[in-house]
Formats: sequence, C-alpha cells, structure tokens
Amino acid sequence: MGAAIWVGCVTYNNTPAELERFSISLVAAARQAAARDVRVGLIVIDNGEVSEWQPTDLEEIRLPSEGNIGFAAGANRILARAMADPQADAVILANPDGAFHPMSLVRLWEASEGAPRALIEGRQFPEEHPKAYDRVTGATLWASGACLLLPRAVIEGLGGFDERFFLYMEDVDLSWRARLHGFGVRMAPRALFMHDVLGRPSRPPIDRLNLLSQRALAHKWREASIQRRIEDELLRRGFYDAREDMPELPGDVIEDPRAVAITGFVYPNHWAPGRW
Amino acid sequence: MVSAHYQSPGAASAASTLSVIVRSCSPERLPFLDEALFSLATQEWTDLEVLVMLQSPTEAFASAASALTAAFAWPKHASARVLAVPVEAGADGRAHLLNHGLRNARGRYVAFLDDDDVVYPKIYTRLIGRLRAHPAASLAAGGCRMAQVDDRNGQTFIAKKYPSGFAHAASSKYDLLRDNFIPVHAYVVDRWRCDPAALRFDEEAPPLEDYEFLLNLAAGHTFDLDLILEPLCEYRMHAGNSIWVNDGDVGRQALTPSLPLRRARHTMESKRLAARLVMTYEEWAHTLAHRPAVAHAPAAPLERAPAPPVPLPVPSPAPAASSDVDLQMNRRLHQAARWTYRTLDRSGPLGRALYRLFARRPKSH
Repeated sequence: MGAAIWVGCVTYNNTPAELERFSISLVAAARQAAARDVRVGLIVIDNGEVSEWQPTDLEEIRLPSEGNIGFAAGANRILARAMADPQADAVILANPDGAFHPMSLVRLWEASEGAPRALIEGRQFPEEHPKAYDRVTGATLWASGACLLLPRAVIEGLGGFDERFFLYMEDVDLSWRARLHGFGVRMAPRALFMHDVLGRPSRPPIDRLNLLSQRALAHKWREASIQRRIEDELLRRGFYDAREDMPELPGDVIEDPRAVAITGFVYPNHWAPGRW
Repeated sequence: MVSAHYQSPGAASAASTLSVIVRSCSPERLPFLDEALFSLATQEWTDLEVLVMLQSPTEAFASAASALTAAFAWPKHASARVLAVPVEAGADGRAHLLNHGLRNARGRYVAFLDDDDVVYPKIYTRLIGRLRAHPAASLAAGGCRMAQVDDRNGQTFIAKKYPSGFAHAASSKYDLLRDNFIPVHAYVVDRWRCDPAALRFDEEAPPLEDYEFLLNLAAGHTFDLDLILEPLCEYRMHAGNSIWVNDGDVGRQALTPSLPLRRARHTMESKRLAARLVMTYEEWAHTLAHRPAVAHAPAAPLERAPAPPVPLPVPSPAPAASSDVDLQMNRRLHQAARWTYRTLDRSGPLGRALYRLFARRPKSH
C-alpha cells in the first residue's frame, strides 16, 4: 500500500469519555493500517473548550483554537495543515463523538485506491444514514462528513469546505461540488464508524443552525422554492419574525447549468433517495 | 416470588460489571459477528466482560473469531474472551452456549447477544440505569428495531429498517403469555436479584429457548419495561437466519417461520398454557405510574393464555396503501436520479457535451 493519512478532528466541548473512546479506536485502527504500510497521524482543532486527549503513540498536531469558527472552517484549517505535509495522500475527517472500527482506516484507504478521485464515506454504525448507494461501486449522491476520506486531488481541486456553512450541509455542498467538477462520491460499506445519532433530542438552537444551513445550500444552488420553504419553516418555528431578519446570504451562487442534475433537492429529507 | 437479593455467584463478581454472552455457531457468520462485537466495543457502559461462545469450532473458526475479538479497541475496564463449547454433532447448541456462558460470567449484570444482531451504544447504560432506579426489578428490557439485511457477497447491506419492533405502548409482562416480544439481546438481568435456578436456558427448547427463559423468569421476578419503546438494539433479519426462512428477496417482507421454529412453537404451547405469572402490587403500581398506556390496554390474562397461537410479531411492511405509492415513487425517482448521475458523473464526454450545450444557451432575463 504505502500511504500517509492524516485523521482530522474538530472538537466542540466533547466529553473526556467520548475522546477516550475515539482515541483508543483510532489507535487500534492505525495499528491495522500500519501493518499495511499506511502511516496515520492526528490533527485536532478545538472549536470549544480545550479538549482533554489522552496521549497516544500517533504523531499528533494540535492546531491553535480560533474559537467557535464552525465545523467547515475548522475542518479547512485541518485540511490546509495536512496538505502542507508533502507526503500526505489523504485526510480522514471524523467526528470526535464516534469511534473507528479497527479495519475502517484500511478499508477507507482501499476504497480510495479503487477510486482515487472520489470522496469516500465510512458507513455510520449502528444507525447509518438511510440514503441509497450503489452496492457494487458504492456511488452515492453525497457523503456525510461524520467519517469522510478526502484524497489530496479532491482537496486541491475543490479547496475544502465552503465556510458559509457554520454547521451542517457543508458535506452535502462539498459532495455536489465534487460531482460537478468531475470527482466521484462513494460509500465504503465495510469501513464502519460508530456514530450514535439515534434518539438525539431535538434542540432548537441546533435545529435553527441546520435550517439556516439548508437555506444557504438552497440559495447557493439556486433553488428558490426550496429556500422559501425553509425560510417559512424558520418563521413557523419562531426563529425569526420576518425574512428580512434572517442572515444575509453570500452573493456567489452556482451558475453551472449542470447543477440541476447534481443536486438532490427532490429528496428534501435525505438529499438522496432513501432506503427507509 | 423472589424478594431477597441473591449474592454474587462468584467472588470476582463486581457490582457494576456487565457480562455479555455472545453466541456464534458458524464461521459463515463472522462478518455479522464483527459488527456485533463492534457494537459492544463502543458501548457507553465500559465495565464489560464479553464472552464469545463458539459452538464446536474448527481450528480455523476459533482462530478467526479470536483474531477478530482481539483486534477491537476494548475500553480500559473491559475484557473479552473467546470460548469453544463442544456440542454434539448436529445438535442445536444455542441454549447450551448461553448456559455455558452463564457459568463462566463474572458480572453482576448479564446480557446476551446473537452474532447476527447488534446493540446500540447506550443500551446497557440505559437498562442498568433502570435496574438501579427500580430496586425490585430483576430484568430491564428496552425496545428493539428490526432491520432487513442482505448479506450476499459477504457484505452487510441494510436494505430497510423498521421504526418499531416487537413491543407496543401497552406491552406488559403478561404479554409473554401470548408470545415473546423481548428479543434475547434487548434486556439486562441483575443476577443478584434472581433465583439462580431461573437463570438457565432449556436445552430442549431451541429455537425458542429465549422465550422459555423469559416465561420462566417472569413467573417469579419483576420486570422493568419502562424503556420497551425506546430503540436500544436491532434484530437483523437475513437470508441466513436460523429461525426464519427467506424467499431470497430481502427487498420484500417474505420471512416465514422455519420448520424448527414451528416445531418449537408446538412444544412451547403446553408450557405457555401452563405458565402462571405473578405480579406484585408494587410491580403493577409501577407499571401504571410509568406507562399509562397499560391502563388502557385490554385486561391482561391472569389465569389462561388465549387459546389460538399467535405467531411472533413481524412488522407489516406497508400498513397503508400510501406507503406502496411512496415506495414506487421513491424507486422511480431513484432510477431517474441514478441515470442522470451516472450519465453526467461517469460519462465524461457526454457530461462535457451537455455542459457545452447548456453553456452556449443565452441566459434568459
């Protein structure tokens, strides 16, 4: 194999127990990767309080915190630092409240070797996203950022995440841009990443951020009717009194006429056909 | 009725240790076992003792299962062991595996897991939390979702998940008199609060040894079912299920009981009809206070179970016609999206040609 991969982690007030679970799973997965000549290091940036990591035998880089700059911006700092390493082949972004299967790094890299110009998503476990994917090729309409491999070609070709998305939807946007620019988006079904999302209670501040990101996505990809529907929802939920009160949207939008065939606005819940 | 707390069965037993007994009968199910063990290795409850029981394994099977188990990043306070359990050739050893596991388990709490099922990360935190909050309870059970899995080509492909499982809002211990609604991996038993004689699986009862175990335990122990609707684990149906027969098309709900299951049901019928469950006033009051739906449910059978056997509940795939419509629409949309995606994303020349075609069109104002 012979490769160098940086695992990137944007923390936000994660508990020591979460970080410990993430950390020991990463060490076990890195051990399997090392046995196949894949070198793994860790880059961390804290968007919240200083995170309490137990030391590991991995090469670790702690980026200076810039406060809560959002996931997309935090992830971009990690991508930039990783690409400064001339030997780095890819970055795997992973949520610190999750955990790697021991073979997940190996399987993500194997999938990437099979599709070197594609974003590769690990399969979330035990509650995976219900969006459909091709069982043979792993092709899917977008890839979740919960556990996502970005090869150097994609990072350099797309320039990372769009920082207008503070939280949520930055991965959908990145995936659509990737496809628009001729890159692939794949699922690696055997690369398991534990991410416990089932039964999470709905929290108004988070719901608001999610809706705002959906609105920004619809605006960026020029889906005015969807944008209006999301704004109606923001008003209905009482997050804003009027449309004029909502944050101003950046002027740059996707002008490419192929965008209509790329986006998944026809599937408003999952942004892709659902299996259930 | 058990009223006293039993002492720990072994000196090594710790007050917070949970022993999870995993049973596996076939090397063909190693990909499933992999996911079952991953679901244990990532538990919030970290004081774990995992016992992987293999039925008469070959050297290769034992070696592969051991390597699989050792590769996981177990929490600091957890341990995992693989035990080979000899079973007579041709026999169904699933009850024997669980009994062997119980004899080797050191934890105060005990849970079970089949190699083809998974538990969710909070299950044991939630269920042990219930046992600690409810001192009379010997068993706490949670909700179980069902998933349809296509395991062809050695890959686990989740074709569908169902929102509900076996229980409903008014499920109570008495419903065991009708049929089993608590899968074997959906509960935790507090061994210190159980009659040791009740902690045994009938080795003549497979594949309904888990039902027989619960019916027997329910007769004299209090169950806490407060979390029975909260999904805490997953029951996976697949072509290799040993008690269900699948017609091969996992896209549809096409599972029927296997011959061993039908035979076991026949055998269980007499036990079910003879069963007598005792519910204390405290247990009844707790049930009413915490799960009001029970109060509005039909009266639970106190003396006799209903005569006609009711099959194990399987979620209906589409209760309303609209679901079929949605499904068809979804398929059409999926096909259209896939065609467009493949055409534009994979076929570079065609995608570029279409792009040039669109790009040349003057913008309308």
